[in-house]
Amino acid sequence: MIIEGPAMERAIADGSNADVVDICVIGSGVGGAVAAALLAERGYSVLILDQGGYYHPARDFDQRELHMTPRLFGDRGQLHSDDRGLTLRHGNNVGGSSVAGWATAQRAPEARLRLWADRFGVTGHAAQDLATAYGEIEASLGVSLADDAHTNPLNARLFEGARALGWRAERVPHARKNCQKSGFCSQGCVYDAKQSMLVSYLPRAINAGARIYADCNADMLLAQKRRFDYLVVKVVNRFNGQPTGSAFRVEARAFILAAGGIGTPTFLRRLGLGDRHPHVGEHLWFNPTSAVFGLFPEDVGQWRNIPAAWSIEEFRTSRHDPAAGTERSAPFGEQGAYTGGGFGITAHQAHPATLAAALPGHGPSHETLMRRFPRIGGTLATLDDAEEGRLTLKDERRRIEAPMRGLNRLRLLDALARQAALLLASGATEVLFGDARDTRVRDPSEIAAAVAALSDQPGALPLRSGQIGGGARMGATEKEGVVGMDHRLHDTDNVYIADASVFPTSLGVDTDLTVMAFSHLVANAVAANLG
Amino acid sequence: MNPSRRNLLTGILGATGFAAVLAAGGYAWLETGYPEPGADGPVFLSAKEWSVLRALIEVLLPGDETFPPGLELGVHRRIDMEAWAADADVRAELRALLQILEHSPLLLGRPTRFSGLVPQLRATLLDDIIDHGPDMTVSAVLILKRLVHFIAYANPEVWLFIGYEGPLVDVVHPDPAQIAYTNIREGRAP
Repeated sequence: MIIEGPAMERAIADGSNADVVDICVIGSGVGGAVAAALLAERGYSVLILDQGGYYHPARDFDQRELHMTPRLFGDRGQLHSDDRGLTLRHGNNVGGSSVAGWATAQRAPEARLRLWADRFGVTGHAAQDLATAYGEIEASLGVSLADDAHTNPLNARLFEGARALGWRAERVPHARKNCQKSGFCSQGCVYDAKQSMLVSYLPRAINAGARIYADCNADMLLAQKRRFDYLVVKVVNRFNGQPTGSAFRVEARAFILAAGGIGTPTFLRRLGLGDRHPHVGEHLWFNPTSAVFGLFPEDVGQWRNIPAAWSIEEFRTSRHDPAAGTERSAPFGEQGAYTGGGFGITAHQAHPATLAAALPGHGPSHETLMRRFPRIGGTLATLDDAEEGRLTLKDERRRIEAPMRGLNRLRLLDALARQAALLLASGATEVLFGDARDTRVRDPSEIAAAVAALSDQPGALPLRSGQIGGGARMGATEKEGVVGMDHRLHDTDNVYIADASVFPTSLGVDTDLTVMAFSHLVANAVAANLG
Repeated sequence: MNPSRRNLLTGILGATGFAAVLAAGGYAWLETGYPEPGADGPVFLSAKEWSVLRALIEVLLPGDETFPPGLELGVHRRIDMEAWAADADVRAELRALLQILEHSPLLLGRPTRFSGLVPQLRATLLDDIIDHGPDMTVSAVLILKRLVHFIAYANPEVWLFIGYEGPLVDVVHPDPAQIAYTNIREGRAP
C-alpha cells in the first residue's frame, strides 16, 4: 500500500496521527527498499517513508527532461557543492535514485573491500561475506551483461576505439528485463523494464505487508538515552517540498536511515548527533564524473538504447610510482607519485537539455553546436575520489564541500586526456572538453597541452556527481566511525543506516548493488536485535 | 568644548553623514531603477532579478530567423517557477547567482550593471568573465548558463531544429510544481 501526501493529510485530519510498527525505514531507494522487503518478508510490520513523491510509470512518466528531472531529483536537480564546482544529483522520490539511474549493477572490487578491512578495520563485509547477497540480488533483478542488442552506435564506436588503443573494455552488467531500448533510462523507465526499486523490491515489500508513505519528511527522532522511540513526520507539498502543516508520529522498535549520501548525514546533523559522532558529515565522497564530447562525421545515436553497454576498465586502478615520492593525500595507501588511472570510462547518454547544459559557449556558437546534436557523442569518466568532502549545517542550511584538488585533480586531468584519446580513436573529428573556454582538439598530439591548460576554477568544467556517500562511515568504535559492523549507530540501541553513507571510502564502481548487499546485512542485524 | 575637539566631532559627524549618503546612494544604485514587470511578471523573483534573468537569456539564446529566442521559449518564466518551487537553499543560491551576475562588471572594474549593458556588451562581458573573472563570477555565470540552456533545450519547440526525434511517449505529464505555478499565475489555488 502506498499512501501519498494528500491522502495522508486527510487521514491526519480525521484523527489518525500516529503509527506503531516494528520497523520504520526512512528512504525508499536501493538501501531502504531492500532492507524493508527482506524484513517485511520475515513477518515484521514495516513502514517506509519518503519525502519525495510517488510516481507511477504509466501515470506520471513522460520521457521529458523538464518534467522528470524535478520529479526524480532532490532540490529539483539544482544542488551544487559550496564552491559551485560540482552539480550534485540525488534521488528524491519513491524508489530513490534507482528510478533515474542507469541500472548498472557492479559488485564491489575485492581489493576495495580488502582495503576497508585493512585500513578501517571493517569486518564481515569481505567479498565472501557478500557473495550470497550479491547472488540473490542479481537473480532478483535479472542482472546480465549488456549484449550487442543493447549496444547503441556510440557504444560500439567506443569499444572499437578502445580496441584500437589496446585498452581493456568489458561489457557492463545491467539490471533490466524485457528492455525496450528506448534510451530514456535517466527519465524513469516507462516500460517497467529497468529494475529500479519501483518495480522490484518495493513491490516485494508491499506484497509482504509493508506500507509506503510518500511526501513524508522525517523531521525529528526522539530518544530516551540510547533508545529512539518516536519519529515526528511532516507531510510536504509535492509541488514545492514545503511542509503542509500536517504532521504525525511513528513509534517503532527500530529505525533504518536510508535517506542517501546527502539525506542521511543531513538528518543526523539536524538531530544534533554531529556533536556525539565526530564522523557525521565527514569523509564525503562523490564519484565525480567528467564529460568530454566528440563531433562525429555521422549520427551516433547516443540517446537510444541503454546508456552504457561497454566500460573501459583499463584505468580503473590508480597507478603510482614508489620511486618518485608520495602524494600528499594517499587515502588508499598508495605508495609513490601518481602516474595515472583511478577511473572508469563509459559512453555518455544525454538528451538535448542535458547535452545543452554541458556544452560550452553561448549565443550563436552554442546554437551551432546543438544543431549537430545527432552527431555528438560523449564519454563519462567516473572518478574514484581521493580527497574527502564534508557536509555541515549552517543556519539549518547544508554546506557541502567537494574538493577537486590534489589527487582528485590529477585523476580528473588524466581522465580527460583518456576520454579525448578514446573519442578520437573512435572516429570523432574534433573533441570538446566542455570547459568554459571551449578547449578543443583534433589530433591526439594536441591532447596533453590542451588538458594542461584547462582552468582549475570551480565550475569551469561541467562536473557532476550522482553517487554520494561516506558521511556516516563504518568503524569499530565511535572514535572510528558512525556505525558499527552491524550498521547500528554507535551509542544507540535501535537506529541503523542502510545506504552508501556507511562506505569508508568511495567504492570505485557503481554503488547500487553493494548498497543493496549491505542492506541484507542490515536486515539480518535488525532481525537479530528485534528477535 | 575646546575648538580642536569641536572640529574633531564635526569632522566625524560630517564623515559619517557623507558615508551614509554614499551608502544610501550606493544602495539606490544597486537596487533601484528596474522596471516593474507588470501583470505578466514573475511569481517569485523580484523586479531586479527578473530584469537580470531576461538580460542574460537575451544573450545566451538570442535566436534568429531559424531558431526561437530564449525569451520567446519562456525560459525566464520557467526559471521563476523553478525558484518558486525550490527549497530555501536553492532559492537563496539562485538569488545569489543573479546578484553576482548583475554586479559582476564592478568586479571587473566597470561601474555599470549587467542588465544595463546593450546585448553585444553583455555577451562580451560573459566572455571576459569566463576568460579572466574571479572564481565566484565564473561559477555563477556558468551555473546560470547551464540552467538556461537546460530549460531551453528541454522545450519541444527547438527539437525540430536540432534533429532530435523526441520522446516515444505522446502523453505529457507536467510536473506538479508546473501545474501549481500556473494555477497561482491564473489566480487559482495551487
